[in-house]
Amino acid sequence: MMHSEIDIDHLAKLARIELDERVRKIFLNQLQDIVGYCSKVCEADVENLEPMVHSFSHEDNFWAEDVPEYCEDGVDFLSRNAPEMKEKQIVVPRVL
Amino acid sequence: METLIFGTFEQLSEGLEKKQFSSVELTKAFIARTRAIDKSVKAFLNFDEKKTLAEAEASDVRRSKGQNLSKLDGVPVGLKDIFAEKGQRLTCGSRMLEHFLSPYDATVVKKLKNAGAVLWGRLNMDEFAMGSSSENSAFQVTSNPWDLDRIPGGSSSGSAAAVAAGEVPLALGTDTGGSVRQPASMCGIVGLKPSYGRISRYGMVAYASSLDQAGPLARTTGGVAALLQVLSGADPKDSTCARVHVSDYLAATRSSEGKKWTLGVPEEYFGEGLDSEVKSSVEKAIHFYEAQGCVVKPIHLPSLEYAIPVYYIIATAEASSNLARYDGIRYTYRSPRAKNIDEVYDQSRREGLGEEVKRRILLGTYVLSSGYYDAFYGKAQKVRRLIHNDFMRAFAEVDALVTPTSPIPAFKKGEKTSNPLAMYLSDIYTISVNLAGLPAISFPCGFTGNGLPIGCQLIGKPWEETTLLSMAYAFEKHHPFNLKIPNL
Repeated sequence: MMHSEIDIDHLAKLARIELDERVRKIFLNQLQDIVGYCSKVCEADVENLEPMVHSFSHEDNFWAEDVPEYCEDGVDFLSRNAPEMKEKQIVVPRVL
Repeated sequence: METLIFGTFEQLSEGLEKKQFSSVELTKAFIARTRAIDKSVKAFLNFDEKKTLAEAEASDVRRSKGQNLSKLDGVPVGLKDIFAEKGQRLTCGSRMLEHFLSPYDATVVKKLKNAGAVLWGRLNMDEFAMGSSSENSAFQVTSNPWDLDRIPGGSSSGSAAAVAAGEVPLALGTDTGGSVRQPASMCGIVGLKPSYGRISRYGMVAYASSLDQAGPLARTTGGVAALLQVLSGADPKDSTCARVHVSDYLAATRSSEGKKWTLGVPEEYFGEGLDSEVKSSVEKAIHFYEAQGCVVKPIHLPSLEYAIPVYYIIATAEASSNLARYDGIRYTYRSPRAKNIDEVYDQSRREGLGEEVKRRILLGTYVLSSGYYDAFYGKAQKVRRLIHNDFMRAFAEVDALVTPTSPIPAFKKGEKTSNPLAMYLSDIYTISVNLAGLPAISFPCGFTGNGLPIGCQLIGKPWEETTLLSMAYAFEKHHPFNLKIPNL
């Protein structure tokens, strides 16, 4: 069965979420159950069916131009919401 | 005060119009009610009394000059804490956004302000709209006003509970897999999930973008219609918001007299797992329509068995992508333990996100990962088409489908928290509607022997909200279950 192949550590790495040992164990069991249940889709007969990515039927709208808007107090909100700011710059740990 | 806080939308709007009371008096009554009972209901995450009263005062001034903006002018409306309201906190029920202040108004908020609505409070929800009980909120568990030991449903838990408890007359929620209809059903009020694309999603925090849709909640169909009227319509800021005709929903609601619809009853919705009291109440509703001269016919929707697997593959795949933005860098929680950039990402997400959100992100990552994409995500998209086609086949024969909203009434707090799969199964009757992008309404159709509300769901053709509102109103007129008041 597919659910025996879950590599929880690899998934956590891809999803950028650190897991402690307790949660890791619980999630592994739960995900195996859920993925096992979701495997039911494999049984469905979908021959000749096109994938449905969206229920939206007005595709002409997708090509509408985005009109950027100037937000007068944008910098103020940016600084109030940022975890750490210095001289109007967001502080992050060294990357290099 | 009770006449005001448990008045229907129509009574409140008319009372304001006839100057029987002012918006300030009305708003103060809801504020007082909230202060008196929200310690036990816990529907509100926060509120700004001063701001709300200022909006009520402005409404009264407009009205005194004969410049009222709409039927909603002066009526308090509560917002699920997922909509951006400039200058107000927007937590989405998550520690990750605990201190976030909205820099702009969502389109729905702008529309409510333009209609003169008085915005009252930020309502509790399952974190990032992932849940069916409010138990996934990072801040508090909302209680069901009909039995405080039970959950109110979710994820728009605070929106439904606040309306049912008389803390606000109208509220806005969001529905990705039933999050407006299921809590409306469990709290004994009316909730509508509009067609996908009916209401703009701009400024509404994304969970699963191809399924998310804002929806109104109220004690009566008229309240839901009035909110839908204001919120509907194309938006240049959301390319998935459709340029389709917006009807006069309030007028359409009233025009149900003598209409003979053809109703489909999908037998797959009445099988194993359906509570007997829920079944009996919904069957009574079906008999009512029959007695009114409607044609009722059995319908098959065999793809229902795939609805939950397809939903949890597609919704979590979209969530894993949408929630990647919560990384501890720009505007979210940042772990104080993090010493390098990798730790900022990994530890901030560990500490800032709740267990259900992490579980869904991991599941979404799994179904999108190399080796599983085609078997899960690719296949689920094709089964989604199958579900959609099943509905369209049914709608060639009927005007709407009648089903229970939830297979069970409100359950006890903690009953399903250790088994996520059991929690997911409680959404079985609502989920496929989102996959197909259809409109659906839940309205109260009875009570269990121990006094818990039961909801009936009507599912309609795309853009046919008017049919659903008229049908729900026809039932409501003869069976005013929604006027019953919880004993708090």
